[in-house]
Amino acid sequence: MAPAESVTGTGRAEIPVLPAALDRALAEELWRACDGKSWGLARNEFERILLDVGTPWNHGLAHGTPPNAKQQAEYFRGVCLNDLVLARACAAGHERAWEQFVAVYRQPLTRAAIAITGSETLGHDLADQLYAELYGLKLRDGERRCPLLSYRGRGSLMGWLRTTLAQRHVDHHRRTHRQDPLDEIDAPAADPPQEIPAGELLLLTRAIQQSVAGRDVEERFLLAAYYLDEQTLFQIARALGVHEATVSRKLKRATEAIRKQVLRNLERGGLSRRAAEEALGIDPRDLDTNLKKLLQNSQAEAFKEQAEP
Amino acid sequence: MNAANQHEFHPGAERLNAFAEQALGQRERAEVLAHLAACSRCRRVVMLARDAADADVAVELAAARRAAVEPRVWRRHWWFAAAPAAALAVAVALTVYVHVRNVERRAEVARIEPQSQTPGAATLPAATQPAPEEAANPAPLPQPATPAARVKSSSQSSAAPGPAEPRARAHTQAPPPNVVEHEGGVGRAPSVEEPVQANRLAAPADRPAAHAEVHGMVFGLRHAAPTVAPPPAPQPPPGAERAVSGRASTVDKEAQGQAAPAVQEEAKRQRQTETSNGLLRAPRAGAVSGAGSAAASATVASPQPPAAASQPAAIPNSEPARPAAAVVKAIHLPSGLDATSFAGAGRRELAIDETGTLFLSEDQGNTWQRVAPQWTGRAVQVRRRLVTDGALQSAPAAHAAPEGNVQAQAGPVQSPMVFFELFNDQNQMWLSTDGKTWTAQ
Repeated sequence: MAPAESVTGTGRAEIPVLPAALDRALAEELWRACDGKSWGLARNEFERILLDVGTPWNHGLAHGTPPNAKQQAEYFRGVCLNDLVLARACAAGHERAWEQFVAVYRQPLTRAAIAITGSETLGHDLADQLYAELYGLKLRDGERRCPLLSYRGRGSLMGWLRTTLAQRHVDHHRRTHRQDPLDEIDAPAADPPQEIPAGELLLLTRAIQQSVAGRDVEERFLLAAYYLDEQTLFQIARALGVHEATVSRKLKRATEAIRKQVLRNLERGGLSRRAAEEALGIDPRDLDTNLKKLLQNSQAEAFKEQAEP
Repeated sequence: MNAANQHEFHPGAERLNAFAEQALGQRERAEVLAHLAACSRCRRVVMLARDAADADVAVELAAARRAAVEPRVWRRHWWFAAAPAAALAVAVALTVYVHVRNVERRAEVARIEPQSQTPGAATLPAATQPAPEEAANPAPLPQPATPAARVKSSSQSSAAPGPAEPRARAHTQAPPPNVVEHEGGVGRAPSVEEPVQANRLAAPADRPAAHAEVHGMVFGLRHAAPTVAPPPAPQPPPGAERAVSGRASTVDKEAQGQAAPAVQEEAKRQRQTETSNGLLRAPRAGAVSGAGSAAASATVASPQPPAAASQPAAIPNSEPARPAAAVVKAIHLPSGLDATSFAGAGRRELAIDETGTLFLSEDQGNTWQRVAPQWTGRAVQVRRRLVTDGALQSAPAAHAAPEGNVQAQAGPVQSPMVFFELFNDQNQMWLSTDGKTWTAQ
C-alpha cells in the first residue's frame, strides 16, 4: 500500500534509532508476547517501535536518567503492546493489520463518533474523516502522515481513537461556535445601581482571586469541572478514576477552604469578622471577578506539544 | 497564557487517553491534571471520550446480555404459549370426543333405522299376534283403528328389503298369523301391551319394527316424522328363520303356535281390550311415537277396567327378555354392565342392567343415574306404556297426574300419557310416570 509505505518511511526517518538502548532479552520477550509477527512486522521493525515508544519519554523516568533493563521492562509492561504493534503495523501499511483493524475497530469507531457528536450523521462523518486520515490520506509537508504514529501504547488504542475523535469534535465545535449569530444570545440585563462601597467590593474581589489561585490543581480541576463545565460528580469521578463520593467530599472541602480563605483575606484587608461575613453576602453580579479566568489561569505552559492535527 | 491561546498547547490524545485510563505516572498525571484544571477544551475532550467509552460498553453489555438471555426468553415465551396451546388441545379433545360419541350414536341409529324399513310382516311383534281363537273369530276393528295402521313399519312393510338386511328379510319369511289377518285392508293392528322393551330387546335384525319403535321412542321427539299411510302388508315369504334370542324366540314360537300359554293369554286379553275400546292406536301416534312408530305398545290404551288394567302383564319366565346387541351397545350404564331391558319415552329412558339395577336417563341416554329400588325382588324388565285420558281415569291414583299431562287435555285428539312398567323376577309390576317413583300394582 503506497500511502502506508510512505508513512512508514516518514516514521522511520523521524524516530531516532538507538538499538543499543534496548535490552535484548526484553526485546525478545516482548516480541514473543506480541502479535507483531501476525501483522507482518519484522523483528527489527518491532525493536524500532519499542525505541520510538520508550525513548521520547525516557521509559517514564526523569530526563537524563538512563533506564536499566528492569525499568525498561516495567515501562513496557504498562504499555498496550498488542495495540501498539497493530497501530504501527497499520501505519506501516501491512494488509493483515488493516484487516484486523477494520474488523475490530471500525464499528466501535463509528459508535464512539456517534456518541460524541450526539448525531448519527455527524458521527459517521467524523468517523469517516478520521478513518481516512488513519489510512494516510492526509499530507503534511508533502508527506503522508498517519495519526496512528502518535499512539505510543499508553492507554488502549480504542481509547486513543475515542480521544482523538473527541478532540476533533471539540475543536470543530469551538471553531464553528464562534460563528454563531449574536441575535440568539439574550442581551444581559442592565446593571443595577451600585450601592455597595467600591472599596469593599475591590477588597472582596482580591480576596477571592487570592483564595482561588492558592488552591492546588486537583481542587481547581474539580471546581472548574463541576461549576464551570457543569459536569456531574459521576463524570468527574470517572475521569479521575475515583469514586464520586470522593469527588463530592473534595469539592465540599475545596469550597469551604476557599470561603475561609476569603474571610481571612478580608479580615487581613481591614474588615471585621462580621463585616467580612456580610461582604460574602454581596450579590455575585456586583463582583468584578471572572471565576473562569481565575480557575483557568495558565498552567499549561508545560504542554508544548501540540495535539495531532 | 489565557484560555484563548491555549488551543495550540494541549496534551495530545495519547496523554489525555492515558490520563483517563489511569495509565500515566504520578508526575505526568499531575501535569495533565494541572492542564485540565485550566483548560476547558481538554476537560471537554476527556469527558466526551469517557462518555463514548461508557456508551460503547453499554452497547456491548446489552448485546452480550441479549445473546445470553435470548434463549431463556424464548423458552419462557414458549412456556407462556404452552398454556393456551394446552387449553386448545383440551378443547379439541373434548370436541373430538363429543363428535365421536355423536357419530357412534348416529351410526347406531342408522343401523337400526334401515332395519325398521323392512316389510311389516317381520315388524310384527310377538304380542301383536292374535291368539288362535282370535284369528278364527276376529273382533271387528272400529274405523278409528284404521289409522292405527299408519305406522311406519307397516307403511314400509311393502318396501323390498335391502340387500344389507338379510336377517330382516329372512325374518319376514315367517309371517305371524295376524299379519295375514290384517292384510285385507285394515292393516296391521297394533298389539296390545307389546312392551317397548320387548321390541328393543329383540335383535334388531330380527325385529325391524321393534327398532323402528326404538328409534321413534328414543329419537322421535327430535325428528317427528309424519304418519305414513299404511300400504298393504306384504305376503311374507315362506321359510321363516327362527328368531335369534330372547323375546324374539317367543315370537317365533307364537308364530308357530307354540307360544307359551301365558303369552297367548296376555295377547288375547290385550287384543280384546283394543278391539273393545277402539283404541288400536293413539290419536297422535305419529307425534307420540316419533316417526310413526307402528309398535302396538306405543299406542296401547288402557281399555280395561281399573282392576284389569292394574293386572301386571304376563312375562314369560322361561325366556327373559334380553336387549339387542345394537341397543346394548348404545347404552353406557354407570355400572359398566350391559342393559338387559330398556324403555324410553321422549328424552327419558330407563334401563336395567344385568344385576337388576334400574337406571334413569333424562337426556336421551347421555347421563344415567341409579334409581333407588322401590320394588321387591330383582328387576328384570322395564317397558313403556301409553294411555289416553280415558284410560287415565282408570289408571291408579298414583298415576293420576303423569308427566306429559299437558297432552292429556280434552280435545278432538286425545293425548297419550306415558307410564313405565317395571317387572321383577316374580312377574310383579310397578308403575311410574317419571321413572323415579314407583308404585306397586
